[in-house]
Amino acid sequence: MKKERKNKSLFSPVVWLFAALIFATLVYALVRFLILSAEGSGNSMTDALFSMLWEVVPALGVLLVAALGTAIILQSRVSSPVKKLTGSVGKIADGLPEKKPFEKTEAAGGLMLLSEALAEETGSLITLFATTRKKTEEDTERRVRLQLAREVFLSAVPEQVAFDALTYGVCARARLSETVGADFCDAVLLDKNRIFLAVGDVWGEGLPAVLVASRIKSELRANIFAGKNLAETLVSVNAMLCGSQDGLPASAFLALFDPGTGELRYANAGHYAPVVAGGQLGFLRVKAGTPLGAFGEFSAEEMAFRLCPGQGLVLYTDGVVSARGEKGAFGFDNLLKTAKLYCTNSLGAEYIANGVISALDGYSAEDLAVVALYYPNGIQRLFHADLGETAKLSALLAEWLASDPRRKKILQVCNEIFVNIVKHAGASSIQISCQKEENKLILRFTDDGEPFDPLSVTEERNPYEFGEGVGGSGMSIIRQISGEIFYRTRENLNVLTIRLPLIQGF
Amino acid sequence: MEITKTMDGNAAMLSLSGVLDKYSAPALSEALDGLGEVGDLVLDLERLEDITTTGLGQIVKADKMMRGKGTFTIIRAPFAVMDKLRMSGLTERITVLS
Repeated sequence: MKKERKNKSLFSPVVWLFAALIFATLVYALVRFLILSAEGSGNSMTDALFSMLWEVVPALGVLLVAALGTAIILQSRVSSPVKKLTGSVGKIADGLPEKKPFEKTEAAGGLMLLSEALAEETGSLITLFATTRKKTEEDTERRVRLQLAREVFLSAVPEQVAFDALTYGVCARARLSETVGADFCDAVLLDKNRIFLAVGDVWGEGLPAVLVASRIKSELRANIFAGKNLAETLVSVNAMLCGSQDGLPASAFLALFDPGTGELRYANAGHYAPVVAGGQLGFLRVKAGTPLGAFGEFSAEEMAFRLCPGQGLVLYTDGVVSARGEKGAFGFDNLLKTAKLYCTNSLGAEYIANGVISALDGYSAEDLAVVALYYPNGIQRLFHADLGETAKLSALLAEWLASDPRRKKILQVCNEIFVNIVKHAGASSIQISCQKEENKLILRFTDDGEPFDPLSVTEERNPYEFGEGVGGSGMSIIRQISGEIFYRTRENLNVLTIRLPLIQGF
Repeated sequence: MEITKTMDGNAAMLSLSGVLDKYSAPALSEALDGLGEVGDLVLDLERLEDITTTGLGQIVKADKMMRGKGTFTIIRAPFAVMDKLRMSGLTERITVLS
């Protein structure tokens, strides 16, 4: 609040001084007149008066001139600086929180005004320092709590878990916001026929929510490892939460995936339905169920779905769809579009998960978690990085390509890629994946050699360059048959992907 | 987010507008705590643009608060908000009137 100040001038005391001088002069004049009259100076009262005036008027004039000079000096040397200083103190006071309005008594002069102003602002500054110290302490405590929450969260929920094999790929990613919510995810390879996936969201913030998330994740694993099915696991977690004092509800979606058959068994507890992408696109049919920890009466139902080769499943938390941008929330429609975009590129689960998260660039997202499951179609084989394996590779591809008219060129390219990986990449194993997705053929070479981007160098230095007598690079051959080739590294693996248009009837 | 409280005898209605997320949820939590002993509680969501799971947590809090004391009803939830209430399973347990 702005305060109005009365700028008092040093002329107030000067006026009083003038008045006092005049009064003293009048008294002196009266006394002198009486004395002169009594002494009989002159011949009459008139002479006495004239004598008195002759003494008093010049003296009064001198005194008034001296007083005026003093006032001018005081005004210029003292009053103005005092007023400026007072004004400065007042401006400081304007920025201080909650204090009494600045007021001044009528009688006070500049120095008095300054003294009182300083006293008042000193009190305000003391209040300000106390308030600031309290806020700093609270802020420090809050930051410590958030840091603790972050550490607890990361100890229970790694920011990324990714693993894959010939017949599946899984990537689970969690991202924390500044305020540390508690979106969690999990992915565990239970055995060769079962992958456990979980995503969940504690409906709160900060350390309490993080602690609940950690407990839920531990309880989920304990139940799954103990052999309970998904519905029983959710019932157990709900009982745990309802029996605690935390009072925070949560949602969770659990799934068990069999990469051998593509079967997905799942159970839901108030979590948003996952997206199935690749081929048919849409949300997985789920029953909403009941949020965990919200109601004592709880039941969960296990459902089943069979993923088709080439399909992907995207589990996500509310942080994805509720992320807010200039045009509102990211929403479910954008999630569907994004999942479709990244699933159909056939670049694996990690690519899908990262794609969904990167689609939120420009959005203000709360905490979020994404789990991507990719179920490739076609064939996958693991070869030793040995030139003696090329015959097996050729046989495998020849069978898969069957009557494709491009078979000879594709075999040539694949053989040369294989040979060059063996010769130049220093790999010990090479994974070959061949898939048909929508209108594309996808061939993927994944090796554990030295990271190297063959597309970033000239063909002469390219370790995937095609050998003598082949007649041109693999890239040019791929282009001849209207294909595309991509290279990337993932967790110390080289991944080379070739995409070709699918010929009808093949 | 804005919260408007209307009292009618022993019944209270909280009208929410804006977005109920982690930033605004504490305000609703305080409003719920400040209601005291009410017999019926109504949440009017007509002007609520969106709700996050942190906001859903406050819905559950309101429901827990009213259990054994009175009724809790959500009214006039917009489509986007209703969708989230439905997907989270809350419409199966809480009275939601459109």
